[in-house]
Amino acid sequence: MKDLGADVLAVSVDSPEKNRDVVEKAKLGFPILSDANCEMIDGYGVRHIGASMEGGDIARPAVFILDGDGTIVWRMITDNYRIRVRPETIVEQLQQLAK
Amino acid sequence: MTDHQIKAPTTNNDVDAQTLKPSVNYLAWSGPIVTLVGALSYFLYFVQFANLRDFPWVNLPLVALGLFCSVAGVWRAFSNAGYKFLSRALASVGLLFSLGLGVLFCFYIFSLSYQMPGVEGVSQIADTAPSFSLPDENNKTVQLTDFRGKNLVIAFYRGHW
Repeated sequence: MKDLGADVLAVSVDSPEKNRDVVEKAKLGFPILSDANCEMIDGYGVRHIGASMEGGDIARPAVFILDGDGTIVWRMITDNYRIRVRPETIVEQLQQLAK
Repeated sequence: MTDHQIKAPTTNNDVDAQTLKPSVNYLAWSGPIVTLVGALSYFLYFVQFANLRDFPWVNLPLVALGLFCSVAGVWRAFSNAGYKFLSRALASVGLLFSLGLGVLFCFYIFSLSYQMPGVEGVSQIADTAPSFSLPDENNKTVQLTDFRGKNLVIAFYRGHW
């Protein structure tokens, strides 16, 4: 995705320490932001109330693509949290943007 | 000729083949185990494979198989007079366990994971992206303005169990 001129960010309610584990284990090439208070999650409207194992709030899986002006140009939200967005779909969208 | 080695039958059961103690009721034992393996392995292993996570092609049949074994085990325990109260009770408990687990698993797969909030409140295409300022995994602050002029993919995810 970097080749297509796009940056990537992941966001979850997990702590930075937990996120560091994930980045290292999965060798992610992009950062994970820690949104423990759901500030950004609420900003984008993706809070899933009571959905964590302990009954707390977490993000529902969602992907947004923003252009250079900060406008949302694409989004994908699933109605079933087990079915996630495939990376190929995002790459396609970025290629469209790059045209 | 000596006769002190002759053993007399202890009970009539030794002679009556129909009530000889049958072998271990493998069906009744394997039922709950297979059901448990079927359900747990979904979460512990098969979720990594997108096609198997989206629909549990491996795990649902496994759970069904475990349930079938439990039912067969109970049928065997009750139809064979060689199984006494304890064996039958255990087989029944095994069936209850498999049933409960099977129901929970199906509930999770087919119902629970569809219960998502409505999409009315979610940011929409053509909206200006809401700003944010949060720490990354190295506790360095990252903000929306850092990405001005570049396309950005933001992936929200549930986080870890």
